[in-house]
Amino acid sequence: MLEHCESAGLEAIRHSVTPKCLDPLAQLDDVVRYAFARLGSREEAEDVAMEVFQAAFRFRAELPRKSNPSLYLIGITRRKIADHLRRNRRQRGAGTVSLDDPGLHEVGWYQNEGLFELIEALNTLSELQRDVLILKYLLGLSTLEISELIKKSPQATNSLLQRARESLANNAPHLVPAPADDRRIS
Amino acid sequence: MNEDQNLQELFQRIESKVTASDHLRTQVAQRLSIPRKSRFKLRLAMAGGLVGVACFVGGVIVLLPSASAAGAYRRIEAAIRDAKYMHVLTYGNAPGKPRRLFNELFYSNGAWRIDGSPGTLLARTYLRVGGDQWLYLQHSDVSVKEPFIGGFLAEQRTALEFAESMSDEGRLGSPRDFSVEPRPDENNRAVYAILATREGTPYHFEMIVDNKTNLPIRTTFSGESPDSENYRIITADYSFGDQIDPRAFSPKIKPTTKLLNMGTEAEALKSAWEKPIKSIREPGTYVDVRDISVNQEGDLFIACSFGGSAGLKDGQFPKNLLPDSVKDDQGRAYFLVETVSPGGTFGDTRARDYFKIGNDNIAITEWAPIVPSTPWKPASKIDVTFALRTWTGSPTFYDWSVQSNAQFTLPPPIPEAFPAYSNGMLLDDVHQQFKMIASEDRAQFYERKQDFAQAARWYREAAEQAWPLNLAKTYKNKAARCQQLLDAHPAP
Repeated sequence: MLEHCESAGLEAIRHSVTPKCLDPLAQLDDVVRYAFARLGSREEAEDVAMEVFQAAFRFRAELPRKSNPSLYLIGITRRKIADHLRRNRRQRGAGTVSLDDPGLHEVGWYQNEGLFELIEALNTLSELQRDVLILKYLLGLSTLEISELIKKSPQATNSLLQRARESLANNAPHLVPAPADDRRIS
Repeated sequence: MNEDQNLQELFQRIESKVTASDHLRTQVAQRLSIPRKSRFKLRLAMAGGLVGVACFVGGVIVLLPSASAAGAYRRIEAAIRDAKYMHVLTYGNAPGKPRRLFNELFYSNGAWRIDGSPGTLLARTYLRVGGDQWLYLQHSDVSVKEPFIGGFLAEQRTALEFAESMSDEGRLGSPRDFSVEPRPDENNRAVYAILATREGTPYHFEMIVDNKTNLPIRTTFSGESPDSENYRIITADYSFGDQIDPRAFSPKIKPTTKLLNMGTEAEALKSAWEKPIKSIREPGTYVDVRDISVNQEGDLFIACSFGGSAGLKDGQFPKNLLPDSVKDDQGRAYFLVETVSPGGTFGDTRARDYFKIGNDNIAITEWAPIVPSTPWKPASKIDVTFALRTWTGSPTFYDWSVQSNAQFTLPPPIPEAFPAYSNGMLLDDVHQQFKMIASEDRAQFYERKQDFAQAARWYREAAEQAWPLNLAKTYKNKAARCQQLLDAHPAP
């Protein structure tokens, strides 16, 4: 019998989709978590994740050439989130919500999971501050990796992280106790 | 506990509670493993040409490091935004050959029409007007209507947004360098050029822009080195001023045209396939065989719906029980040409969802006899082995530890090359590649067996099937290589 499993060149496609250094499905959770933390809605996060993998599929040939394919995927996710936010704003104006907003229906769900207050606290920060905190503490990226993603110098990224931490501690002291030194002063 | 630890613990709430749903995981895995779209990128032939046309404009948005190029882009952006009409002709140029029209695009106030690959087997018209999208398949004279639910041009509302959407290739790829250069007047028009290059690659993009209107006149793109056999230049000619006849945006329906409405087609098929021919169950997964068709040349089409999954728990590609090998009652073996699912017109139109049976997806496994003969003597029964595998059939994702066998009685051969449900499932473009893929597979099979005479024969066959695509040249080269091997080592 013909070795049909090698037919149609599909093995090559699989290899181009899943280079040794990256299993896209293994990255899926990270992409969804990151999008969720940015958007506050699981449904929207999944929509974005789907778009990300569609893009990754289209440009799968690029993946093996990337020095850090995982970071590359997160980079795509950032852009897709930005597109998503821009589309939403364009559709209904910045700062407005709609009854159809899937995020609203999920409040009950993530209240139970203790996530609501975290998302609320993150929403008090600027978009960039929120982003760097999520990249740092949710995805565990290094400052260097974050700086590459947000196109800032490592020094500027460090400062941004510091300001973001301070803002979060100020805006949500019940969640993030101020650093010990600060507490002593107050 | 320090501040970093506090924050890490805080964010663990997300890490521990938020994961991709099984549905998404399945969708992504399927998306990554869809075989037919990736095969030779034929389905993207229309869109592919347009990348050359438009990616530059969008790419500049993100990447321009040069102030002059950024300024030029902003002027182009403003000019395109004001354009009500856009007409783009995209050509391919292989060295020493006349340029060939790839596609023609019309845009008018939110309506889109793209005529792709005229004069080839892939000739088709895609139309998006209001809430509907139409696909007219010239070769099979079929017009398909779907509600507009996504896919190609999904989010684009203006010509500029279209151009932006096509920019992904540039911004997701390696960084590009941009520059602006003066150019001699063209047809008494002052023009300038925006150039893009990618360091260390032969990538070259050039857009000629009208100095007065800031609208693009022409783009040229090449991604390969001139000495590569795949080298060609993609040229696109833009025009923005002329009003487009509204009739261009009416669906093409001739008296002979078979008109398909995806919704009703799917319902009819579900009703016809309501009772499976045979159901096979294994722990965690099952398959229901819904239809078996065979054509006059012995090609077999086994349509199944399947559910459960044996791979999801490991975070791997889901595996399902699917046909794995076929033999007929005359001892002839068949090979799997491809496994396809109900398709979409462009990208993910969710057409597959139309054809779900309950929650189960449908897969059509398509087989060809290893040794075809003319005339084909029909078989009356086939033995099918089912095994756990992904849709792609890649060997890494096979699991032969679970196998089931079943025998099926074959119906009389159908007079057409493909089963009637193919049109409704939008499998036409896949099927246009069927013979070519089967020929290539046979060629590879014989090449591995070092039967270079047969290998050369089937590569030549594949080349004929592939014409006029560039792929024909690749197959011809492979045939020539096998012929050389044969000449060097003639069979005793």
